[in-house]
Amino acid sequence: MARARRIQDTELPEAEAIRRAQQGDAAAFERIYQLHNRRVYSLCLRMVGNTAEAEDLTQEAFLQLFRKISTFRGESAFSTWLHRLAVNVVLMRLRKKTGTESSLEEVTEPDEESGGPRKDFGAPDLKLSGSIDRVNLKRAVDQLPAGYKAIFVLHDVQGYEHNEIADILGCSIGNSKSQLHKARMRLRELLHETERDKAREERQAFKRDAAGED
Amino acid sequence: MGMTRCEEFWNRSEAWMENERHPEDSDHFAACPRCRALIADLEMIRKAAPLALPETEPSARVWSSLRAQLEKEGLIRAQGSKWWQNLLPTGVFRPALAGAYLGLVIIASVTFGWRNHSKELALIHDAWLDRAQNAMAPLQAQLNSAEAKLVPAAQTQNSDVTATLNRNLAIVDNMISMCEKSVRDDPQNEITRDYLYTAYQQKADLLATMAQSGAEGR
Repeated sequence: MARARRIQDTELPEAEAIRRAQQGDAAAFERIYQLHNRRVYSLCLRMVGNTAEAEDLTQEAFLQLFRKISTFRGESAFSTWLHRLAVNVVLMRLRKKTGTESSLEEVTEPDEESGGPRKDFGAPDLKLSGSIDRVNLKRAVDQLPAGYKAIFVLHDVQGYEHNEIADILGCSIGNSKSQLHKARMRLRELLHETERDKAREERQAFKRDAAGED
Repeated sequence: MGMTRCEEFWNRSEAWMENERHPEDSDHFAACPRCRALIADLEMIRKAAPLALPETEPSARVWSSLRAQLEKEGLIRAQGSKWWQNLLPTGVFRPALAGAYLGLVIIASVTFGWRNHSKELALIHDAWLDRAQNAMAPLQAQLNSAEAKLVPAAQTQNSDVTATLNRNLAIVDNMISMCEKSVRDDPQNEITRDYLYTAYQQKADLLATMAQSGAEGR
């Protein structure tokens, strides 16, 4: 009987799980957690780049969600609501770390000096070589300012649309589009820098080898 | 000085990426290798992102501590009783398993508690390792003692259930010995320690199930 109940709970549709969770059903909470923990954790992990801290933030985001679940009326998509909570939890943590009291808008509008893309039309770089090394891309994403990172992860990694991101981050759709573009432009610069560094190292190694042969 | 065609294209590249293309840009795009390279790179970044940053799952401890917190705050009502409360009918086994459960709680607090205080981490790290190592030993003894009492009693019940439980116990024991070896080989590694803790927890759960099935069979 208990086993049958457990199987039922693991297949519970989201809407039903939410309804039951609003009545304090433990299995429904677990079901909601199972449905969304990967996305929330992955978002936190990309934002902070540290597994222990990402787990801590995931727990905090779900805790806030479950504390407020009785107020959820279904006007917005549940996952959007949860992601909004998660992003706010992450941004609060980042603000505490940097000691600034910046608003979400400021976080999504980094100036060029603090990591925005440059418009350097005279740059000699053309296209990035053949394919993008995943490790390099991951490293480049880690270097993005928080606002760019959030939008890039939500759109290009998790597949949210701009209207959903605008809901999650509390910004306009235009702002979401513009920040995403700036994030990609900044990533391109960072990846080009990595390629240049690598080429320089290879040249130096070649020179050393050539000198050693003489 | 006015903007060059490339500058104009770059300024509108955001719209281009959203498939909102300015009629004047198409000719320039076809003729300009620099602007084609820009768009090709941005497309490549967009396609590479989900592959470079795949979704991953948090460790099981996130849900365990979340659930504990929800219960503490009274936000959830548990279905049935907690596993260790199921031991109540089998009073004779209760002290040993309750001790093991307490041991798990101590290890969990010692093992995971320090992570939440990164500033103090450097100071307490060595002390933490000593305490965690010391805390594991009595726990294993308590679990072994509970097992010694429970397994013979469980064998008097339904033979199929007993066989399944014994098989699972052997699997968990095997896992514990592998994890213990990993912890001995690399005592500083948190992940192996997490696995060992989880294996102990599984054994405690299994013994609790045995105790419960023993009680129901009587």
